[in-house]
Amino acid sequence: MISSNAALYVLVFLISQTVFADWVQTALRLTGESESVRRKSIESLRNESALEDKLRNALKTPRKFLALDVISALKMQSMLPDLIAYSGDDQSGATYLAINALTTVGNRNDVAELYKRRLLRPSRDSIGVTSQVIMLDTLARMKEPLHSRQVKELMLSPHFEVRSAALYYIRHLTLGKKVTEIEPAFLECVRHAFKSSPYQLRAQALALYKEYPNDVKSELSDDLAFCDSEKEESVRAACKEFRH
Amino acid sequence: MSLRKPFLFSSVIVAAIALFFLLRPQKKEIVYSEWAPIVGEIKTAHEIPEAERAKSACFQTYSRLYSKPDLHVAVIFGYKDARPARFVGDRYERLMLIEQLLQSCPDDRSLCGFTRDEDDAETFHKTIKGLDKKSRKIVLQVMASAVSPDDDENKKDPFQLWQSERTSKNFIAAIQKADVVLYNGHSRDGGGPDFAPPKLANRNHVSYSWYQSKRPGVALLEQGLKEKSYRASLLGLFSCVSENHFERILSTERTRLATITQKNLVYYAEALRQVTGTLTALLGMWCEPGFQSAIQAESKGGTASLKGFFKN
Repeated sequence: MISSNAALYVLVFLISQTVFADWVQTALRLTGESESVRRKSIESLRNESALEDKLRNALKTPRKFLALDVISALKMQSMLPDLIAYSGDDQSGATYLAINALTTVGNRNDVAELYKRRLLRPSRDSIGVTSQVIMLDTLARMKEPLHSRQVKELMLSPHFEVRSAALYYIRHLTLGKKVTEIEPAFLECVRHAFKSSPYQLRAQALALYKEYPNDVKSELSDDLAFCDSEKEESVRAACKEFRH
Repeated sequence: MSLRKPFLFSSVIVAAIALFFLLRPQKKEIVYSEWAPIVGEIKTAHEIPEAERAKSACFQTYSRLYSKPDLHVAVIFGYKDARPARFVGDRYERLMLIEQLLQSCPDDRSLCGFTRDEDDAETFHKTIKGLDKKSRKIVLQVMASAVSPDDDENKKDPFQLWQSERTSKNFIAAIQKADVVLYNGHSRDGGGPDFAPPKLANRNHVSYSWYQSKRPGVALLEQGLKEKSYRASLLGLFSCVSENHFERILSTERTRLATITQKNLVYYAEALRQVTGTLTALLGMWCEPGFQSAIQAESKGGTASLKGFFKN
């Protein structure tokens, strides 16, 4: 006959196996739920045993996106070396978003240097276009200075989204400045975008023109002549909206 | 009375509770590859013997879908903010899909080998063989709503206003002019689909009461479906609980518009896999079991609901 102590032990074990969800189920509640559910999920994950090992293993599987969300939400600084190592092969770019979430005042310069090294090397296409765009967007928001030659190179990328991100970088570094404070090469890049394909880049450059102060607009106004012969309807609308 | 009987009684109650949790339906383990769906044996419409074609819902469905020389597909990412955080992700998700489209096709994969239009960054082309062995041109439009990953910056940027207006208009136009329309974005608690920075309440949370009251996205859907000669025969709404939120409007079109909707909340990586799964299955002309597996983005079961697509 089973002793009452043994029965109690079995019952507690059964309950522990069924009632307490694993890290995956908890992690899925980090998004799409209320703030209180998210807070409880974060607390629960902090108490998960051997979480770092579980997340390290998950980074090598399709569950990596969830693992990266957990690392970001819990601000797991101890995982930063793993992320940096893993990001070199991550074609999706999602690892860079997690690195961004772990960027602090203390490690900001190291992250910026890492991104510049990877983004500006000749073999950058081996790291995937999404990764390139995420890194360039991050450098833009950091207002991290790049040499104008490097920006011009990115504006000539074979990938449209990299060219668009380069123009976004220029926006961040030039907005709010007088024409005498802006690197001439950056204005050259904006002029180049006015004449570029695809049409989305022309529209983006027009929107940037609209945001500039009058002295910068004067510098660029002659280059808007393309509006007179623009074939794409939405860009003609942008010309009308942003030119004046 | 000894303590033994009450203890045994309590143990039985606890055991019953434990058994209930053991036997209740568990959330399914999600297992899938990077982006392509993992499925079992796949049968395609190409493989259906001639003698069976007249009665085959699979063959008849794809015959109708590919009846014209061009198949137009629109994939439109809504504005995928993560409020109260500033991050907006749809621009990156779109790019993850595009990287896959532009890869060469090393095997019998179908979601690859596309070329991008020279002057339109959002349009991609590919040629495949129809069921009659003649060529079909696939025209695939892939749009995102956000112009940057920062919601605070987007709200100040005139380019964002331009892009949101275009994406909304293109969503309506796609229902009218494309054969397949797939939306991957927020449901806004029934106020979506949404292609613009969110209306916020206090402490930077989305104002769901505003969306429930105004329902701007539903107005877009209704506008798209208003023109009764609309071309779309399949509409996918890959957004949280879309089956429940948009059932009223979709049920009125069920005889002519097949739908893919979500029963539950959906994680962003899962939604992206469901979109790639749907495109893979459509381009490969997968019959229903494989198609169902592909849209679930996992090997068995899931949260996506396909209605009205396969029929004779």
